[in-house]
Amino acid sequence: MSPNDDRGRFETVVAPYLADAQAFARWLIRNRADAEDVVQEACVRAFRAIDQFSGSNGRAWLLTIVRNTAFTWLKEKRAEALVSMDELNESERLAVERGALLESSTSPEGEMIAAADAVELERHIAALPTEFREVLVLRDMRGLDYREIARITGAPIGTVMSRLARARQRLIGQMKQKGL
Amino acid sequence: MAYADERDELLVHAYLDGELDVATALTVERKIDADPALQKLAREISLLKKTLAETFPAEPFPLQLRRRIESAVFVRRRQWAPRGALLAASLLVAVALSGSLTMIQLRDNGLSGNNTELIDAHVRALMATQPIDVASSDQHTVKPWFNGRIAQAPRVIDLHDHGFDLVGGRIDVVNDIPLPTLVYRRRQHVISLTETTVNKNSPKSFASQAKNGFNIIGWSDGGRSYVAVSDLNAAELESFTQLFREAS
Repeated sequence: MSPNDDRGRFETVVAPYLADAQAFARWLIRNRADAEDVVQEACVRAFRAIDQFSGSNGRAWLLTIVRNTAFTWLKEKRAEALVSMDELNESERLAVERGALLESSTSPEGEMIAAADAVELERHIAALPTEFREVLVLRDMRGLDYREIARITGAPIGTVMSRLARARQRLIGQMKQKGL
Repeated sequence: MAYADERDELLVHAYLDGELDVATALTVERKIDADPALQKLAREISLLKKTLAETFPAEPFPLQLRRRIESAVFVRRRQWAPRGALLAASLLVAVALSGSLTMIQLRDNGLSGNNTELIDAHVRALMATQPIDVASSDQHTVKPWFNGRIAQAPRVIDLHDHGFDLVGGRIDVVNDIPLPTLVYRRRQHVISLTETTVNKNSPKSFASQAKNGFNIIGWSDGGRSYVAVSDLNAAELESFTQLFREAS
């Protein structure tokens, strides 16, 4: 493999998805500078493993590596930042989010959400447990489909769907509370 | 106000995300039409999706970061010189990940001229899953491996008793010339020892330098010239080179 081939493969497999990688890392790490380090490390890892790339969906492939790198980083640097799913009562399912939603349903929902400013919204998203946040970010900010998200997070599609629904419901509930 | 079931709720999300096949989408559409609670849910989800998309639009990737990443991925000398600290950090990340060491700066060590190929050779090794092409701790396996691949097989010396384990060898190409490189390990530190042809730039006897966190020692000896590179500390790397010289 000549250096030019290396360049070419980086250009086609990794480079087109750097913005996705950066946005994803930033929402996982919640700090721009640290996220940049994570993206850089992920790119080095991706490039070293480029022979293992199957050739389909470079974006999902790169984001999978970004996720692994970010989780390793979080584990080492900020163990407390990883709020695990296990710490949330699975049996609650959507009850909590839905409850908040229904109690505050007296006002027109549109005004509530529209009233949220970016900072507020960002704070609520940042407060979501990582497993919820990553699904929301990949779907609603980066536009990945459920299958890609399942592949990246290693979760079944059903789990991706329920996490996405719970993340959205929680945000909707919070936006409404703020509006009241 | 409760939804018919949770599955319906998930399907409304999937419907709005365009994830459903036509038949299922049709079923969900009908359910939404028939159920005010689902209608409300659908409106809220749509509004949230729109808000998220508008509040957090795609940002262009910073050019500076792009350059930094390329530097880390394609470690190149010309990008190194002016940006020492930042790129040294990048290199350490790369090296930590590879578990090996391969970056070399040899300008003052007898391989002056076009260093790009030398760097490229080492970068390739850095990126490989193994920094070696033949993995063996047996000098009688490593040396014959070079035969047939390279004009002159290198001296392969077993320094295990001194705490330097031979882990294998590889061929690096510098200025179109294939050069044998032996790989040793001391604790977690990898040492690359490249045997080069002697030329007018070769170090007369012994030259060492430290660059970007690596120690580099070059010497010439009986018609052969060597360059050792490692993140091992200078004293131990020097003792390695002395042991190698004395044994050869």
